[in-house]
Amino acid sequence: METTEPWPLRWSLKDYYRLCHEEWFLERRVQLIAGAIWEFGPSHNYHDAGVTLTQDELRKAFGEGYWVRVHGSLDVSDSSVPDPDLAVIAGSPRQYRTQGNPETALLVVEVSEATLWFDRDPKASLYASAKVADYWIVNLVQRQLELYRDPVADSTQLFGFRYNSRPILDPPDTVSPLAAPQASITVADLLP
Amino acid sequence: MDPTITTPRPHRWTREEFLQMIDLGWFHDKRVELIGGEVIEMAAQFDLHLAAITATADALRLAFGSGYWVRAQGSLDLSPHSIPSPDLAVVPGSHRGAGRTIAQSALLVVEVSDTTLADDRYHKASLYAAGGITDYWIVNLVQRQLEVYRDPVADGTQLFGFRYNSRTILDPSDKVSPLAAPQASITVADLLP
Repeated sequence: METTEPWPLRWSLKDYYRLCHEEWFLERRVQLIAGAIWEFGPSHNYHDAGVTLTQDELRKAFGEGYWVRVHGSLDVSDSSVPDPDLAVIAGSPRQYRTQGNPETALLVVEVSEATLWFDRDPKASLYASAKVADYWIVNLVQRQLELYRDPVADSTQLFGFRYNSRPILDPPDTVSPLAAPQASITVADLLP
Repeated sequence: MDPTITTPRPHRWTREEFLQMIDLGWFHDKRVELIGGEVIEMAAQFDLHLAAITATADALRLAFGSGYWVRAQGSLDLSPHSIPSPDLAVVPGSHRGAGRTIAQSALLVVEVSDTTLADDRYHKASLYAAGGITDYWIVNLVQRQLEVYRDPVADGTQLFGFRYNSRTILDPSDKVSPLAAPQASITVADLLP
């Protein structure tokens, strides 16, 4: 006991994997964010269509030698294990036969409708703290793509980092992933 | 999947899950309570706080006499999502013969408050009111007063949907009688260290 005031118990990454292994969250979608277990509602066609469309575009853009992970966990820190909708990491899936999860990614994408506030804050700060250089929010509400780049330290943010550059793209605009600069993706192709 | 969740929210543990986790040893090195589905780690205690609990427990034992159990920091099973450990709770009966159960109500609940005053006044008051506790006292160590909360009523604006309709502030020289021990008279000064 180190505190002098009651405080919500902070779960660690180790606790979280043990809880998952003990099947406390069957039929639930949960993520560990800043030591708290957050629960998400069921997904639906509009959201899942955005995930599939984005997955298809990223596979084409990155090609062989990259793995576009869907809803896979990232072991960002001892207190956060988010499951982004999409994360691109280097190497083919067969190179990853070990247990555990990557700690960062070349590109992280969240497809956002009901989760928009959560994906902008705290998740942008979380991914910035994980040194994710390229974070996209496919905004299904405004039908735009929000780009978050250039992570910088900022102690006012929950995870001590934020993105310095936050351009917003419309459907006719094109975007190139930082890690696949030769590719060009039309924003409209990501939107259902 | 819980279709009632439309936006991300903190996961809420149920009382059954919380009790099962205790059995599995999840919190063996911690003092925890379940408040509104959230596992709360309880604070370290200073002597002043503990002295007030001892003084109040002594006064309540005298007031209630035999046939009542004055429980210090015992768990109280209040709702589908809450198992708080109030500083003191008075229940009918004796501690002898107690089993592996958790009391589900109390005649009187007392919190001794120094650093947790706001939490005890708003969140805990709403929780105890929702749990049907008709007599809730806060031994306020900051102002050296006793706050008496009575008459729980429904109020949808409160965290747990209930609040106390009556709140009386007593000074050290005032006297108080527990609702469930109306013949007894306790001087507030005797509760303060």
